[in-house]
Amino acid sequence: MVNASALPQGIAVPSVPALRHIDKRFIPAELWFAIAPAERIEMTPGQQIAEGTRLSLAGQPIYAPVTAVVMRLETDKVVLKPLQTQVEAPLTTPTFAPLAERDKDAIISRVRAAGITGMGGAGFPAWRKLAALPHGPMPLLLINAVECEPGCGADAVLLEFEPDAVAHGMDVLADALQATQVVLACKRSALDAATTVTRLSSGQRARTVVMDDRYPAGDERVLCKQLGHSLTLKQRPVERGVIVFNVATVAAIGAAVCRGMVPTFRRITVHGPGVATPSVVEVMLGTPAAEVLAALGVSDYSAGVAVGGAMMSQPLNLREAAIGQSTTALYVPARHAQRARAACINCGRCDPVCPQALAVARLYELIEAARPLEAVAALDVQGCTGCGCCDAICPSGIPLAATLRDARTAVLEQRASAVSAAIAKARSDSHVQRERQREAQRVSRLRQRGDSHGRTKDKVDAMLRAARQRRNAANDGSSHDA
Amino acid sequence: MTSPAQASVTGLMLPVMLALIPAVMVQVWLFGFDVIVTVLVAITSALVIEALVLRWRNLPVRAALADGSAAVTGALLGLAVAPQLGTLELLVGVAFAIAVAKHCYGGLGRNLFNPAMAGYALLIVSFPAAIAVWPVPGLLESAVDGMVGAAGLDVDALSIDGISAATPLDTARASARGASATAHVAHTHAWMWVNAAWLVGGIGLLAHRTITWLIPASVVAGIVLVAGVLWATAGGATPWVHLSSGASMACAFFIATDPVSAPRDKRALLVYGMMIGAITVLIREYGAYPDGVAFAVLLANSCAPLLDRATLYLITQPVDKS
Repeated sequence: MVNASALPQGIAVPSVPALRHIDKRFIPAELWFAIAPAERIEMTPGQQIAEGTRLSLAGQPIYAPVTAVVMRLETDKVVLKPLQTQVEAPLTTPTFAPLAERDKDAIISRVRAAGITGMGGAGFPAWRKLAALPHGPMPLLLINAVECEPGCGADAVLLEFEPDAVAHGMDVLADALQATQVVLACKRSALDAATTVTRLSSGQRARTVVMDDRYPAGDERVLCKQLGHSLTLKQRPVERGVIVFNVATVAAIGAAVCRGMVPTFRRITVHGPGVATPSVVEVMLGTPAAEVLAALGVSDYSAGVAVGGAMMSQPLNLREAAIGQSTTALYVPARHAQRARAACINCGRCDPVCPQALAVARLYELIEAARPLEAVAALDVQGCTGCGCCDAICPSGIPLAATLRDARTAVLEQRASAVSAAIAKARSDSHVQRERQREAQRVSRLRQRGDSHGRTKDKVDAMLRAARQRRNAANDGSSHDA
Repeated sequence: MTSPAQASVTGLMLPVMLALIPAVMVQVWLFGFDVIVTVLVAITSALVIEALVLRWRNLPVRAALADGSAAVTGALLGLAVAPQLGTLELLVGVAFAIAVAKHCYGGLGRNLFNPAMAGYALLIVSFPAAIAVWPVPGLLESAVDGMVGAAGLDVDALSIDGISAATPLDTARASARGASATAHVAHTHAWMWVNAAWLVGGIGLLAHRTITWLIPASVVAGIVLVAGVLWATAGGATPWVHLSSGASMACAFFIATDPVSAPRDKRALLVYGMMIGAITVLIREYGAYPDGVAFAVLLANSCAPLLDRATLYLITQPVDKS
């Protein structure tokens, strides 16, 4: 076990009350899956769908987690109703056979077929991350169970209650990627559970690293830096030989490979000032967020509900939001969560807290003064991860994270449109050049051939010269012209 | 500095007000309860003037007053002026500090100059006599009940009339005036206590992480360096005298650390602090004013944007062409 040193940046996490762990899995009355009509399989209301049936035709595979009846087909989603008889015994039949050959390519196709996406919040397709790896052994496989968002503890519960699932996933990935090092990063409070997992994994090659209770200790760039693989702003972890997966994703990969199971449940934290008893609960994928909240007794969400926590969150539209693989936590903020906003007092506290070491104060100045995007991009605003440390530390309550995030989006969009504009210009330039060449060839052909009377330019010039000479000779004879 | 618990302007200003208490207590002990009256008048008038200006500017009054910045400006100005200063003069100073130096430049976060020092500078040039005259500090034995004044001192030992006297800096500058050694020692002693009180408050601010050590250290370094050179070569006062008299400690911990008028980059802050210390000593030794803190701070304030630009943008980034 290695103790990671204290993070210089970031902020201290306020202590939160212990989370209640709800043992019983939550199976809802309805399941919502956001699949566009063109991408759905054939289904009609009233039709029964067996568990494990693939619901999406192409693209991201989505499976029915339980035997259900189709209730409604709406424009943006499919609504299923889990059958009462199946409620107590969800998906146990594997969709695939356990994988025999566990080399990297086989793992990638299995992970792709199972539709596993990152369960740490970003939702990046796991197979893509694996497929983008260079050949050869991977120096470091990093499994992220830190979950540094204040108030969240779903990953810690997973470590404690399903250590073998995590260990299997670790082994599968470590073998397939030929990882030299395997590290499981966790918070101090989850150390015992993490040690159990590393002991369960085969080969004794995994070790645990404890991260301080600072935010954002679970950010993958911060983790890499703490483990000695510092990344520049533009680098991805794979470029430094590190592949990072969330611990729940690893468990899902293990289940898909070893037992042929597709993701059906995930643990989420329901927390925030608007939740009386913050809890960790295991919910079926596709559960409407509103149902989870209602089941936990949260009635007042007039201030909105978000995925994430106090530091980083994405607002939810409860009319269409369902728990997906990337839903880590539901956060219900307090009623009057808006802080009074004052002018920037130049205190400079935002710069040292930024985990990406951005010049936050200067960026804010430039953005507020509506300077051209080049100046903003020159200060690497694209490196902003939206962690919100600057927001938390600002005495004037300035929404720095949102401002920087918008600037980042604008810079990336501008870059993308600049690229497509450059492509279009190159195409148009070559077209124009081709046209010019054709024109030049036509002219030279004409010159050589001459006009319909067979007179080329040279011949015409010669005729004109001869005519002029004749005229001059004739004029010389009579009177002299000037 | 990395605790979100302080994440409000009030959270920054309140510790400053509390850290002023040692200085208030020592100044009361030395100069009488007039100090408290002056400070209260200054704070109240600062709040009232701020409220009026905010109303005139059509800005929300309650939120801006609650952030405490006007109160701090008033308190600092009230402690900087002699307690015998007339109320009218004090009000003029406060009004200039709040309405002109702060709000004419845009309000909180936008002022170029330190408002308290701008107000004090106005008072120095407008009422030079009234400003430079402080009460004779009461000695320990006679200050049991907190009352000070001529009754507490042996008047015959002083060659200055009345119950007010020049500060040690004045005395050091114009030793030809013939203040007696006893009085001089008493004055230096008294002002040492004042500076010690400001230092205690400043250390409290450091411990509470309201300010960092960089600015105070730079100011002290600037003072020591220039005073040391002048003492060694031109017979000026020793660095210790400079550090323990006038408003040196107040400047280092409370005035130079105002975030709005100071630069942001660490290297710029170092230069800024040393500039303040250096110019303070130069004005004290060669200038026409007893204490150079106010003008030193204002001069350094005017250089702050350039310092930021020079260090932030030339050294680390290509120059921002905008």
